[in-house]
Amino acid sequence: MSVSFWSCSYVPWEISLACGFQPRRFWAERQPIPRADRYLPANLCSYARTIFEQAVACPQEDVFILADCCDATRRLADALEMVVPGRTFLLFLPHSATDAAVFARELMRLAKFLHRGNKCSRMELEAAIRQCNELRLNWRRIEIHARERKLVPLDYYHALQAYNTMSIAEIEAILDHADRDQGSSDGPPVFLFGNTLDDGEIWQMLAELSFTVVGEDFCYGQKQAKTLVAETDGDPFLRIAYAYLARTPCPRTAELERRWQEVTNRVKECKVRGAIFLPTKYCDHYLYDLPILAARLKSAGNACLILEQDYTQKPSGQLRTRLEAFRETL
Amino acid sequence: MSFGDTLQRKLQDGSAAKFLRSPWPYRFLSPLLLRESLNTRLSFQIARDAYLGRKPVAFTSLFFPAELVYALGMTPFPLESIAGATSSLGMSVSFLQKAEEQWYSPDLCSFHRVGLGMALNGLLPKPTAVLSLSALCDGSNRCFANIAQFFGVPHFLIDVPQHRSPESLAYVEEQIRRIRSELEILLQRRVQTENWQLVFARSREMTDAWSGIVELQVRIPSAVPGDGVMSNVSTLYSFAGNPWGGRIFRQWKQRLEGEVPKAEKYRLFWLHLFPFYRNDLYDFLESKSVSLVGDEMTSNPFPPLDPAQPESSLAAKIYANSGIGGLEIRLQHILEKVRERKAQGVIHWSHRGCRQATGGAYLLKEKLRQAGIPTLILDGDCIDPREYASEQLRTRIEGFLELL
Repeated sequence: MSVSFWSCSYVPWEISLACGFQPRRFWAERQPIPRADRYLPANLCSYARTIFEQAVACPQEDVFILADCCDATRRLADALEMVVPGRTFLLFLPHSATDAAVFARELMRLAKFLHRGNKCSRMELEAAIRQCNELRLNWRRIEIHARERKLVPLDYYHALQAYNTMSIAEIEAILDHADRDQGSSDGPPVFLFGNTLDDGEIWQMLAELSFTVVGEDFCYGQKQAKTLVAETDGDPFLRIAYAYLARTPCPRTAELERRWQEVTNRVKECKVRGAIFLPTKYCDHYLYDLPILAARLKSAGNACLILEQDYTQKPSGQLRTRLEAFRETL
Repeated sequence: MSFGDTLQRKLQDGSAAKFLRSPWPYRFLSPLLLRESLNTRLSFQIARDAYLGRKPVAFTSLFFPAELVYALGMTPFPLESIAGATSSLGMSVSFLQKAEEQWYSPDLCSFHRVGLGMALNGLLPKPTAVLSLSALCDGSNRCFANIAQFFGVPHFLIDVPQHRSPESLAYVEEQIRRIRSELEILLQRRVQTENWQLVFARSREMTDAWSGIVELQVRIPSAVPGDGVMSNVSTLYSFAGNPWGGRIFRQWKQRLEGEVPKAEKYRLFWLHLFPFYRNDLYDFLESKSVSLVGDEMTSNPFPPLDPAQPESSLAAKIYANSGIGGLEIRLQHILEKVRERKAQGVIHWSHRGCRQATGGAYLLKEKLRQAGIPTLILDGDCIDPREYASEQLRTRIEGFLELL
């Protein structure tokens, strides 16, 4: 089965599945990126640069669906079109949830791209909606386990990987394992913020320093599973568009007050002792979100730590030292 | 103590904020400025209207259609252009530092950090609304959203799809219509057809006058000095619809026609923006007999504006910008201008915090190389003078000119 790679979680998996592609998130890997260095400058998001390196090495039949969500992604789309032409789709993503009809029209354009000009069948689309909803319901069990402090950081990391490769079996295995080792995580509960945290080494550090991750606001975690797509009558493209735009908004959207409210409420529900911000270096959306969100969390009595991360460099000893110091303050 | 140092001190002790909001400096300075350039007088007029609250103020991003702001009877206060002005006055560093103190990363675009720093320092006038365009860059969106949040005023965003199609055009048109009616309610003022007629006529007058400058710029040898290409992007976009726009360019043209053009050995086309602080770049280029025969942003076409269809006209104007729609559109625009103006090569000023233009610089260089056009990428910052490396830039430019 050909793979449709995505980088922004506003790209609906349902469309890819209905068109015969296996959706898969680009998982950033720490590796040399000589081809990316040639086409994309160093002051561009390291996640985008890492993706480029992976994409150009993908089999010819795989495609890349990039949401028009940031300048780095647009330039990534330009670079991919230049090096591996005809395999990239740049999906317009409205800034406001009120524009679901516009997004639905864009999803139809995506379906045509994946289906080489043909429409995908209604039956396949409905089946894909059910499949993705089932996955989301399974993810919610992970959320509950995390909130109840039954997961160690590496479990959470593996659950994110399993969710983003659509492996319900792996999610169940993680839950079973956590249920057997009840109370395994008793370190200070923290909430993680950032766009992506694909780096296993940082999760390992969090585990070694006995942090308990009780929730996160990554692009591809809790936010993604928040809203189910309605399994009722009506235009499936519109139902998908509504559900994707209705979830907790990301910092890129125009619904920032709703975002800050929902995120701070979640932090409160999780009864955390601290918040760790791990934005990817050069990600403008998160770097603008951080001062306001961190100020709100601080005023609610949460300790905050800000650590920028870069996928082109190994996590430094300094990062560990700062995490250690933060743990001591909790 | 230098003028810059005095200003920095005044900014810190709060006296600059009081000065800007007092009517006396404007009354005192007004007659003294009569002999100054129209550009200076326009800036003065905007500052006076904004800080004294004579008109409702709209903070605008660079490419937001200013005609809508003027038609509504508001004063546009283009924050990115103001950041450029503060940099040219040697005042940007303290604002950048202020923003950094409040956790705004130094990796963010310095145009926007200066805007935030000014807001945090209490040096911006109180806006009625914040208006921005999702094109060309993301940093602008979020900076303007944060500033709107800071002042507690509404933020109106025109969301521009990158994919160019009739549907995208209609979507942008609809948003402009919606923003217009929401602002009409906010201001309790309706835009009449005659408002559009007046504002569009002024906008047309300005772009026509600008064509006169371009005529001089493309001459061999070029009759417009290198530093003359700087700053016009702000006048052309942020003040489109201002009654002085046409006069500014006509007066400048008249002055240029009376001057003897400098010797010209190289003709180069400039990409992206320029450093706004005091620098020796233009003097150095002039010393090497380099003419800058145009730049990417001010060479965009300006389509006709129809007062009978104001929203669709403004949507078309937005999409006339070659920065929207991917690298290929940007490339075609540059190739056309380079050939039309007989440029031998291009210089791309890669502003450090920019992901939109700088992010595509390597790709563009590769495409231009394939088209046989030599390209030099200069890394720096438009606003932060601490990022300016004069000797390094000179060496790189010299090497590039030798290749030509």
